[in-house]
Amino acid sequence: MVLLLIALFILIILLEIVPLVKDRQWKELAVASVLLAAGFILSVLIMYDIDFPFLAPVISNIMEKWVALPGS
Amino acid sequence: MALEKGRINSTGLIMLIFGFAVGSSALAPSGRIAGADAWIAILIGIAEALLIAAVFLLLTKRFPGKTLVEISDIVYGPYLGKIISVIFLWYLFHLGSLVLGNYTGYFSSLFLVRTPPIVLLASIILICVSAAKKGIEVITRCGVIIVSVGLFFYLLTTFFLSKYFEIKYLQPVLTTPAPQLLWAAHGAATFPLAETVAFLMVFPFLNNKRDTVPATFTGIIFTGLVMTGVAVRNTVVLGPSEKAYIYPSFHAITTINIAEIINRVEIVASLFILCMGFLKTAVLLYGVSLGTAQLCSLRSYRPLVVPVAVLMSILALYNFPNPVEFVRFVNNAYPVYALPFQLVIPLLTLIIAVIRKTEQRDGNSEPKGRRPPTESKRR
Amino acid sequence: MRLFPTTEKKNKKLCLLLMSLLIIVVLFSGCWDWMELNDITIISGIGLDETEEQGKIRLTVQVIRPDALSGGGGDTGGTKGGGGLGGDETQAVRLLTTTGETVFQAIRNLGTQASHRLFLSHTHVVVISREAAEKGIYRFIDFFARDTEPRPNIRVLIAEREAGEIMRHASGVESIPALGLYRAVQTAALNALAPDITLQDAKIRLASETTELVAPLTKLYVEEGIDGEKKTRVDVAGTAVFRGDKMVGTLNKKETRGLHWILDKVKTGIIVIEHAGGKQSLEIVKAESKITPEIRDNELVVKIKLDVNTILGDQQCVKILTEPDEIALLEEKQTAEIRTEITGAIKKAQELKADIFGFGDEFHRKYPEQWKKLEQHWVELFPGIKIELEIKSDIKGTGAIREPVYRLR
Repeated sequence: MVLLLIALFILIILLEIVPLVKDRQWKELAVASVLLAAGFILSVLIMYDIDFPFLAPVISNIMEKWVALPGS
Repeated sequence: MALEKGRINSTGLIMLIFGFAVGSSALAPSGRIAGADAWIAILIGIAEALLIAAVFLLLTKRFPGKTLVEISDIVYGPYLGKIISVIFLWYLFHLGSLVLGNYTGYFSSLFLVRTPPIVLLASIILICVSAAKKGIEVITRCGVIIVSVGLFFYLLTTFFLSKYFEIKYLQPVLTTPAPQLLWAAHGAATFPLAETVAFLMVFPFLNNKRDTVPATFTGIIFTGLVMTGVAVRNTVVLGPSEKAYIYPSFHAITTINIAEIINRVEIVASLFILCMGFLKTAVLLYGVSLGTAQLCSLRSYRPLVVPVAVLMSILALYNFPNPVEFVRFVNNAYPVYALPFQLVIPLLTLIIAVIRKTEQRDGNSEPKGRRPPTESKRR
Repeated sequence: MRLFPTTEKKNKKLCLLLMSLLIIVVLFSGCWDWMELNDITIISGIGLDETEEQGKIRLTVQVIRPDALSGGGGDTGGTKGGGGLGGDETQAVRLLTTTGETVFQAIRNLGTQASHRLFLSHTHVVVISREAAEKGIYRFIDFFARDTEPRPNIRVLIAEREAGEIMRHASGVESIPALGLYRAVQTAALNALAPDITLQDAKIRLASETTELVAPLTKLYVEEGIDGEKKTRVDVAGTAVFRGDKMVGTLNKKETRGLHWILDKVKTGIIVIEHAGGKQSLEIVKAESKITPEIRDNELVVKIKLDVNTILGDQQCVKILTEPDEIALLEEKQTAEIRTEITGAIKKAQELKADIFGFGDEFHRKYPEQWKKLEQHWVELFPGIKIELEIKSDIKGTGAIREPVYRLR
């Protein structure tokens, strides 16, 4: 599965990042690479079963603490 | 505006807004807390959404041709402005992941049960990436076709369902206690009507800027009316069993069985709804990519679309551990969570803009530090 | 590589397009959920009984054999005891039986007997035994509400004795017996002999706070065929009445029609009255009912207004009945008969303390404030409701002849 992920990212790099290098769009390359790297790291972490907290319960908890709700 | 050279017309905008708003509402109809009075809650919600929309519309009128990112830069100055922009873009990003996760969950739990959800997610996001890269004009053109056909199909299914209507299920009318009703109305306003705040990234590309306000209002009102129709339809078909369902529209459409020939149409209806979801996700993906590109003063937003899409997909998987949390989030948290983004940020920006007397008249005042527009390669 | 005589760029685009189309075709034929017709076992009817052992469920299903539908052989699958399906029609179904602790488990246990994956979207009927229904029906219904394969237009029936035996027998000329049963319920309902309850109707009634579930009753009977051979057939008649999710009683044929009169569901049927020394049949051509609840001095009253039109279908006496006063007499008797049926139904329902007519919901709609207090005690209040009937029945026609084709000698 990790191999599949790596293959996917290599594909993305080939299709998206390389043309940026060819066109010398350095700024775009920088931002895109940063974002992509973040995505890659997160996916790998997920692959290795590192539990991430789910976002909605966190937000729900915060909201419920702040506001007393009439919603049933 | 080098980042986007496409232009859309007001009809396109109306349809895009409609597809955008229906995109989520079809799967999680608003106002269900109010039970049979959901339709009343939605009508009230339309009014509230129009008020919220008035705020960000005033803002965009003041700065025609500028997206929120650019406006923030002007109003708050380069540093604070970027922070505000990041907060706003986070909202769009989060919203996109919510929609994506929603659709994946819908098709996964109802139709393609054994297929790994990632496959479904990838299918949706791939086409959104393609659309976002091509620009807002392409997205809007898709929107026009999808919404036209989709609306026709919606009317058709409602017509087929009419023989199952039991109007008495709407009664007794207006017996929901006021706090509950108003909370449901507020829910309908924030999800999905006032989410049109996301269009602050799209308004600059309207052909005729004077159409912005009428088009947006029309879009919101029209969507609200259709949502009301859906709420009524679901109530009169499903009656007291409506509250048990996770996806009431699905079950309502499943009931269609004309002469044993016209039946099992719920899959076709779901496909149209999927198209609306595509519209919404594409717009949000586009908005985030465009915004980030403006934030970093890039020459093109296109390279960012795929990385943003990857991140959005990851978040989509990590929003809800189970449907219970989804319900809790939609009913309790989101109507509050969304407000800062839908109302507070635009309001604050507007107030500060007025105070600082910052205005842009037909692009005369170009803030310092902006590069002149340059050509960027089309992908 | 040149695919077509086009430019380099268009070539590349074409390649990509073809590739993506290929992927789409593979992915969207159903992904992992892709089902081929000969890979699935289509369940056309389900019968649910309780086993002798406490707490377990016996599932008897009719399973379609696609090859047999096109006219193949009559090999019948076996079940424990009871023989196979009625032999001389080409049976396009097999019978399978399993047990399980829940409905879902029982269905999955079928996997050992069925060679393929089970498919529920073509299930037409679910039959539940009376014994099981008396203990509680929701434990069977929940699966059908939760799973998305079963369609909402599945008909739900209660078997007088055993659901499994209903599944074992044919119901008519259909080659798929479950389909025959499905159609039989609709025909019976057309004549107001039994209510037509779909899964959707059952869900709505169960979800309602006060309206109770009803279901058609089905049983076996023995029929003598043209060649004198006795065959067992399935019949649909009568109503099962529930309180909550437990079956508490039944309505006979007349009471069932009473139910239909009140629910505005009578479409056609025959009213037989005695007059002038013989029985006459009046065919119902139109029946409309309107229910109005009223609270009068702390008393609950339901006004039922009925408007019925009939045609004289046949007469057994030879008197000329087409004169105004004769017609008036007939109409009176007809009204009396309708009244009997309706009051019979209401009386039985009130005895069983089951609001099968939806009167509670009507009060809820008209008196939402008072309803809050009434709702909790509805089971006790319902039997005390006073009914005011207003029946208007007119004979609108006499068929093709206006006097008997018979001269008294």
